[in-house]
Amino acid sequence: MGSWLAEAALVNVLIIVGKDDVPIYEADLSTEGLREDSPHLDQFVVRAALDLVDEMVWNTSSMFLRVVDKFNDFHVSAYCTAGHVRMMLLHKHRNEEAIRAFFADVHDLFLKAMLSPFQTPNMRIQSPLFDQKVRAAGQKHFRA
Amino acid sequence: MFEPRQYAEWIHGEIFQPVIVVIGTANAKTRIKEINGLSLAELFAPFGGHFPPGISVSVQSLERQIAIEHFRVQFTDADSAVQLSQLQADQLADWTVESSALERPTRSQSAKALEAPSPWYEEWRSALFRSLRWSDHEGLDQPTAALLVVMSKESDPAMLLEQLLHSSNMPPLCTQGVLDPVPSRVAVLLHDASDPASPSKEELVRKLENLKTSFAPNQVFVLEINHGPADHVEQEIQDLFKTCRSRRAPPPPPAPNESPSPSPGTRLSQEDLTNLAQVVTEVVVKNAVPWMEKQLQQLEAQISQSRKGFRNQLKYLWRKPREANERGEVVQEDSGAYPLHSVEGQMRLAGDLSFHLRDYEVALGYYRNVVSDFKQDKSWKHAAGAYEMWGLCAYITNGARSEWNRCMESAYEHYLQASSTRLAMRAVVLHQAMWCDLKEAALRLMKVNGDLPDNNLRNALILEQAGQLYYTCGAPRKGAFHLVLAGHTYNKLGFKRLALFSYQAVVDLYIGKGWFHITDHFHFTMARQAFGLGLKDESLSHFLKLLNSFADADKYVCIQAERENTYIKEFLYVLKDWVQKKCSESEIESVELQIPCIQPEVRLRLPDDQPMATAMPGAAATSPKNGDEAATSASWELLGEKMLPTISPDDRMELNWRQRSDARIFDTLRRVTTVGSEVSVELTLTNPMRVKWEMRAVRLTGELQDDTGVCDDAVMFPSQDVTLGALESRTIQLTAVPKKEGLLKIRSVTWGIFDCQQVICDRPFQFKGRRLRNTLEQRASQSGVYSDDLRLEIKVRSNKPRLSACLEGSPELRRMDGTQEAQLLQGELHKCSLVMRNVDCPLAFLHISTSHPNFVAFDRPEGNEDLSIDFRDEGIRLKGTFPKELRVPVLLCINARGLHALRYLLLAEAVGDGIKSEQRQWITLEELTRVEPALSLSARPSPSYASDGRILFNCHLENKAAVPLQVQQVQCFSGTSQLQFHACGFQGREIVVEPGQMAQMLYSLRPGDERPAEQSARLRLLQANRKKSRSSRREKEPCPETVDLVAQWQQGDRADRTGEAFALQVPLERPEAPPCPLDLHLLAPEVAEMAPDLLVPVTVRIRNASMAGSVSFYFVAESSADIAWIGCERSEIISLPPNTSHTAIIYAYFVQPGVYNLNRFRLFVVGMPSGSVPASEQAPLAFAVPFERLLHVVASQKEGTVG
Repeated sequence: MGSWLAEAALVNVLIIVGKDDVPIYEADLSTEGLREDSPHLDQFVVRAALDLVDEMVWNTSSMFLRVVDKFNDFHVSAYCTAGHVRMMLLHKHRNEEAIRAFFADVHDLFLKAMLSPFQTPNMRIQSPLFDQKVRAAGQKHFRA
Repeated sequence: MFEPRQYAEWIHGEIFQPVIVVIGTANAKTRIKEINGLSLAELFAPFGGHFPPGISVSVQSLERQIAIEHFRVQFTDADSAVQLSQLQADQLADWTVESSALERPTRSQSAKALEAPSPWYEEWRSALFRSLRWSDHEGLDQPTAALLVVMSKESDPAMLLEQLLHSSNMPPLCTQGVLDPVPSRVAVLLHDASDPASPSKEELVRKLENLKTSFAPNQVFVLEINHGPADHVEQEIQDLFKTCRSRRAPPPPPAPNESPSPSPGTRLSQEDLTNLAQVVTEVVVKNAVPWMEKQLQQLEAQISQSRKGFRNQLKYLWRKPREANERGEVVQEDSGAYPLHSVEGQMRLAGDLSFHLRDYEVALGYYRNVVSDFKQDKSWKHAAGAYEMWGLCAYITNGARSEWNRCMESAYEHYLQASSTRLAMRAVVLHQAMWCDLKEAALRLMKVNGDLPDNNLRNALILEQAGQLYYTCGAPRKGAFHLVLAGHTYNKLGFKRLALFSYQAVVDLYIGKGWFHITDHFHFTMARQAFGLGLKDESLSHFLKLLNSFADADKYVCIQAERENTYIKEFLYVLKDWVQKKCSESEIESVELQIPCIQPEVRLRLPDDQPMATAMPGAAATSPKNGDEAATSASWELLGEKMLPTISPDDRMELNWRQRSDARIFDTLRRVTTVGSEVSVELTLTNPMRVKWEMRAVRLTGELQDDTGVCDDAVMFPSQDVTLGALESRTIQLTAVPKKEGLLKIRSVTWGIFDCQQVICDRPFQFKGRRLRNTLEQRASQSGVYSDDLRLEIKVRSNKPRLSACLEGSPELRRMDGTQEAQLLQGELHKCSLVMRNVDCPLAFLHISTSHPNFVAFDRPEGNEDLSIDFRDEGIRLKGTFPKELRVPVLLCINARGLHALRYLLLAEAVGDGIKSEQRQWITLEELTRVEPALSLSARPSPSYASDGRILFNCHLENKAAVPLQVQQVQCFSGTSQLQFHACGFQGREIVVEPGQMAQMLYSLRPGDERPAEQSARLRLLQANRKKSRSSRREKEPCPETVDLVAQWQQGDRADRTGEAFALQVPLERPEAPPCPLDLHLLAPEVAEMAPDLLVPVTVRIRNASMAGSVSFYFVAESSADIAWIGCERSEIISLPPNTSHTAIIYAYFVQPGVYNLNRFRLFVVGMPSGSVPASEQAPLAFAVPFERLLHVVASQKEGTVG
């Protein structure tokens, strides 16, 4: 009882991918509710979209690449930094301006995290502060 | 993908071939099936141009002559010439793909695993083509010849041939009028040489002649077969028919009740094959091909009659669609085929015959013309078929890319419109085989996958094919994902082997790159699939990888406990099944499971070592506090050197290990234990999962080696059960008990996994020793070259003392209302005992030393007269006959506040002639003691009263404790003598010094009045303190005659808390002041009257008395409670040339009347003439000029004079 009454979750999964396709940060910014995806499916879809990012990055001068790939109802938006670190957002609803603003915020946070002397490039970002701020940015842009 | 020429060969060789229908009598069918294991069509099939030398023909098309090198035909039994139903086609496809995968078990590991197309895709494609034969919308399966087969033994072959000629024996499409029911006909008189009922040669010839007469003008052949032996068939022949049968599509698996047939080709000999080839060639060259040529010309003539010419063109413009028939009834879309008498049917058949005869331009013309008719009639299926063939012809004839692409896409769309999904798929497959951009092909497949939503084998194959194409065209990640999707779809459909292949093909692209959810999914899914296929080893391997990944420190992902529980449950199920199959009941198997994790810090503990729990008693409570004095202790190595001046390297390393616990020492050190003693290995287990982990019978494993080799049952390894909660870490101690001498090597730790009885987890200890950097190779090695770590290699000796020691009665931490109380007061005397128990080992000597000989004094053990005792500076040395239990009294008197680590090092050496270092036992004890301040004593001789031969001492006692202390007496010692020391003026009075108070007492000493002091621990403590005090004094200082004063105190009326305060090295004479280059003069009135605003001017005059040079200095006026200086109490730095003086006036303020000494000035010299003692502002020389300048402050006249 009640399972079909539960609302569908607002899916937003952020994965930052570094060199050699190594994920250096992951955050599930989705709301609570019913979900059709699973953590490994999210990773599969995001990783598959990297091929398209590699193509699209040469076709635009913007860091924000918009929606680069789709899988069923899921969209993958991408943002590629100057250092070719790719920020991939798996989402269901298309809200390009919110995603653009979110990526801009995350890019700022990412740069600050990379400036930390305790952060090795292309290694996992394990800073709780970074995680906290990314989640706050997600809440700000996707739940407002 | 094929180039156009290859594509044509592929099409004609594999897909579309002219058909020869084989119609045989029941006897012929049965006989060939029973004897040769073949159907009649299968008997002729290999010789239809499929194998060298093939059939070469020259055909006459409508406009030109065409030579065909490898002309191929296919033989079909007339009774099987029907299209398969959807269900049959699906069964055929499933069986084909499954059997293809079964034949290639290592495909997924090969380099071609990611190359398109996969072999099962190709076979599925062939099966699809075969399942779509005999479709009513095309004429590609038009029989070009009918082979009528009768047995020679049959009584009336001519009559049988007449029966076989009846049109009802032809395929259904022929009887329905879609295809021509009258192809060329050839009779074959089959003579079975192995059949005894077969007629003789003469009879055969006679029958043949009769047949030729009755069957004219059709040809009649006699075919003699089965000349081979009954019990043997040549492998070459068998392979020929098997290959042909597989190419012709493997049939669905036989029903279980079907009787087994002999191997294909049984009884056939090379001679038979030659006969068969000759007959087939004759049939093709002289019957089938001429019939096709003739039929094509007839069709062309009929089509020309109805379509060519101006009149027909005009008529065609008013052509009515087939929506309404002549009677005006509405015809459903795709409701029927075009019969052969319709011009559309004729055009289609003409196109198909032209296509078979390789006249693609003519065929293209027919298809192009007829497609519009079909579209006008809304016969989407026919239109799609025509578009399909148009596309093929356009591609083969190197037509424009856009043309064949458009045609194939139209074919696909029209087939979908006609709801013919299988045919649509055929169009896609044919399109895929054309040469085009790989990415475009992959996208097309994905579009098809979206258009055909049925979740069946086709979708899985499309996904797989798309994945391979993506991978090949430079999108490996997308390709890998599609292969995973294909594997997932295969798995859902029950094709576990193909699912496993798909996962195996791409697993390496994902593993080890940090995609932990994907990695877990891979291992878990592959483990399940492998288990489903009976691949138990592989399944277990994946489960182990899955669980071991939790030990990876980088795996930070949060996985639900429920999911982890599922992992473990299924792992245990597979594990039990695996071990059940692998070994018998008594055998034990081990698995390489890395869960729980063993922390790298593994410690070996011998009985001599201090247990961790007692090594630092109350460590947290007794941690150093602010203001504590430094609590450093001598190292064990240093203590050992004091005991044994010639300490061996092994002993030194043993003590070094106890001091530093640096594991690098184990590249050389092997520790020594005794036979029968427990050797403990302390390790920390961590459960990285969120579920409980049960470890059964956790124990060490290893071996004991002696001179003869490895000894069996020489070591006992007790076991214990351990259960680790979710994410729990626990330190456990596992033991080994050696039973004889040798070298004990502890190899690993093992445990049972949950309730799996026959499986253990064996985790070898792997330690790296010191990184070696001696040679260039060692330094250049990237992974590093390391020495062996010998920490778990223990020498076991029988002649080693087994002494145990502990300190009884050591000061305990006392707590009151949760607050911490001092353990000892400074100088408090505390008695305790060092208790040693010896186990059956005669000792040569026992040596005890302490790190703090000035705090700890040993005394003679009572009742042990046989022992000779030698008191030494650092402790005592005992020799003789040792009792089983020895108690050495220890007196503690710690004269420094703070946290002290008091160390006791015991060395026992066994009697014997072996290697001394292996006969020694070192015991290290350490006690932490906190000491709070108590009574302090300082004394100095008073010069004023030394005239009558006595020396007066001004003793200053200050109570820094929080409790009142009662001073009992003050004693004076000089060397080993005690001097008579008398109190002046307060004999017989108890002096209680309250907390924070000071007391000054005068004592007198008359030199020469002395007696020997009692030799006791107290005296030894005093001597040790005296020695230490002397050692801290600078050697160049003159050593005046001194005495030591000891004040004994007691806390209130508690007799158990007594102590001593020392004033050491008190000189009997006042020390002379050091030579000061400055003279100080103070000018002030001698008497002053007390008034509220009384300020007494004091003139300070300082003169440089040195003639050597200038002196730089500053002076400081010291304030006290009764006198205060108004003005600057510290002057600036003043530089005085020789014989000059400096004068300053400073005002003194007094709070009450009295006599005051105004000389409270100290001079600090910061610069001296060259050659003198160096001084600087940072290290000034301090001088106090020893004279008194007294001022009498009298009370005011109004209040009266005091004294």
